[in-house]
Amino acid sequence: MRALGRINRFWWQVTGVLVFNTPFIGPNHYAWLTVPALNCYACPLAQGACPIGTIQHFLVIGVIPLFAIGVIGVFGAVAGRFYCSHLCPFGFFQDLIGKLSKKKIILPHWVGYGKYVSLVVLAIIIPPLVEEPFFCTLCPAGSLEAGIPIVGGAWIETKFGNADIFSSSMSILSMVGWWFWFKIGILAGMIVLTLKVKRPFCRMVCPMGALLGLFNRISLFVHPPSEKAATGKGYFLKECPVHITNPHDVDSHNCIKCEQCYHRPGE
Amino acid sequence: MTKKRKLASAIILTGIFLALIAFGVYREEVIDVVTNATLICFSCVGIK
Repeated sequence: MRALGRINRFWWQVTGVLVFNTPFIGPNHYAWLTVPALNCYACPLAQGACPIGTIQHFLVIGVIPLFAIGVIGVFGAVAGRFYCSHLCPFGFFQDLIGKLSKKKIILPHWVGYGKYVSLVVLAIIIPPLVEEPFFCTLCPAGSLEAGIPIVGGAWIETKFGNADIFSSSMSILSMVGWWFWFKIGILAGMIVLTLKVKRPFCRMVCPMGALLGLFNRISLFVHPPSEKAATGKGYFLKECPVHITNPHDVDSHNCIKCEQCYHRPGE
Repeated sequence: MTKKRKLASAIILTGIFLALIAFGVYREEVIDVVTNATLICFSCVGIK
């Protein structure tokens, strides 16, 4: 894993975007696999199934999602939140937006528990009660990867193409209401927050990050070499993409195992 | 945690989760996962 870590994380992330959202081949070639990242399966390019969407779907139909939990568990046991830093398309999006502003606010450590509230309340308790994947109805990754391309594409087709009144584009546009704009507002708010806070969604909201974070300290791929863990010194946390400031929090549920703290800045 | 204990616990955990996957496949959950993933998710898009 250390050797793999020497490959620039940017290229890992580009690969993650292309593997989970492959253009030109059509959607969902491995729809049976719940991917180890928050990647919306309603995206027109999506391959694989969103793990949180899948779990919610099963809870709505009253079935415990053993297969999805098993797949997430295997991914987690192997590498914890490694996927968040190296493969997750929405994490990559936040990293890119975050580069637009240098000054960032340091949030208290406890805000990281927000993602467990999000997992339990929005993705586990509410969906069976309202009989729909409630987290998805709020998810900014869904707005970015599915809402904007699908509604935008339908709008372009009706405006510049030859879509008739019975076309799917027209029916999609007819369904756009205040909730769509509310979701876009959540995405816009997340983008603004990302300018001031490093990876706010991953740290405070992401239920997938919450699940994978449970495995962070026990996964096969563990961050700190023993001598560093013992002393708690020797990390270069200035560049940490999730603003971990205490060496003892490396490999905590907030850590996304990016390995940047292994290297001196500029190394 | 020593390296050996860590490896052992990771192997046990992976085994448990592989068993869950096997049970899920036996219950034919995979068909439902595929169906759910291939249908357009209106909640994700934000339309109702």
